[in-house]
Amino acid sequence: MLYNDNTTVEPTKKQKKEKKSSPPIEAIQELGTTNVPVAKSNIHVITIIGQIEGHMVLPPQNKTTKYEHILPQLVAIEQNAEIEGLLLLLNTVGGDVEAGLAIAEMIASMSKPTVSIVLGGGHSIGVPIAVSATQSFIVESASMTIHPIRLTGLVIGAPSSFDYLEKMQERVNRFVVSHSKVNEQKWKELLFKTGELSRDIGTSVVGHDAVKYGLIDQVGGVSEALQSLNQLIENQKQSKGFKQ
Amino acid sequence: MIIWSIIPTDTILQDLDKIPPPTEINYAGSIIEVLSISPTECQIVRVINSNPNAFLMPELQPGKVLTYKQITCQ
Repeated sequence: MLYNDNTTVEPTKKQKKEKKSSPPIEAIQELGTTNVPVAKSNIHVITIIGQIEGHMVLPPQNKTTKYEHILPQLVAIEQNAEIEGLLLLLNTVGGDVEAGLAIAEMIASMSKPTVSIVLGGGHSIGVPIAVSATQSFIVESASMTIHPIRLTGLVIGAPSSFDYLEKMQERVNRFVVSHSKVNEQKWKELLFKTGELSRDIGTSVVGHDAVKYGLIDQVGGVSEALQSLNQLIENQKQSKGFKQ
Repeated sequence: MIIWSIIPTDTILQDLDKIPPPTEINYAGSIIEVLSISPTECQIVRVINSNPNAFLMPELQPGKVLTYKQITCQ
């Protein structure tokens, strides 16, 4: 009797051990998914795409970048010792002015090196975000639409007076001028140019022109941007070394 | 709130009134707001957590689709 009991118990123990030793198989069986192994990197990449979503959840036909998720991510990147730099990939059509400015100010105030690449388009509020990085890049074919806020803007819960929009525009102007090489006169000239955009005043600045006007630092793609980021990381490491 | 975009405001805000209110649930140690997209799946809209590292977790990115089975099995 005793011998028989033992034989029935042993296989179940073995089965339990097998189940515990293979969590990936368990995940596939239970959930139909498994985790892909993650390669470690010393940089983080954030994509700023579609509309910058601010105080309102936008309808699902918009592809959006949620600022309330980006802000704490930037805090985590700044704080995490394993992350040494940040690469921003921009292809945005604009969005909430204050949400965009919040992201731009956060990136500009980070101590870790940041590099941005404008791909496709970095329009409207995408411009301050692009210039907020330590070093900014634009690919040859990318464009940036620079146009005043008031003509295409939507105002909710704020006095839609000319004064209010003027102040909002001034905040953007000041940020762009202080974080790029463009001077205020040139920026305002691009902003109020007539005849270039069919339905609006403003300018569409493409690749090399963005660099020529001083908005963006260099024309280049991924390899140039990564090279620059690695150089900035190296410089920061060395300067920290000298201080100690 | 001011939208400054090259896309016309009407296009951006089309069907704004059709967005259902999100539900708050506990998932992977955070409170998350989700929108139901099918009887068995929901999509993350927002993560609420005071730990900044939670926002870097791949399983807690907005737009990620979760099955209700995943939520109850955690």
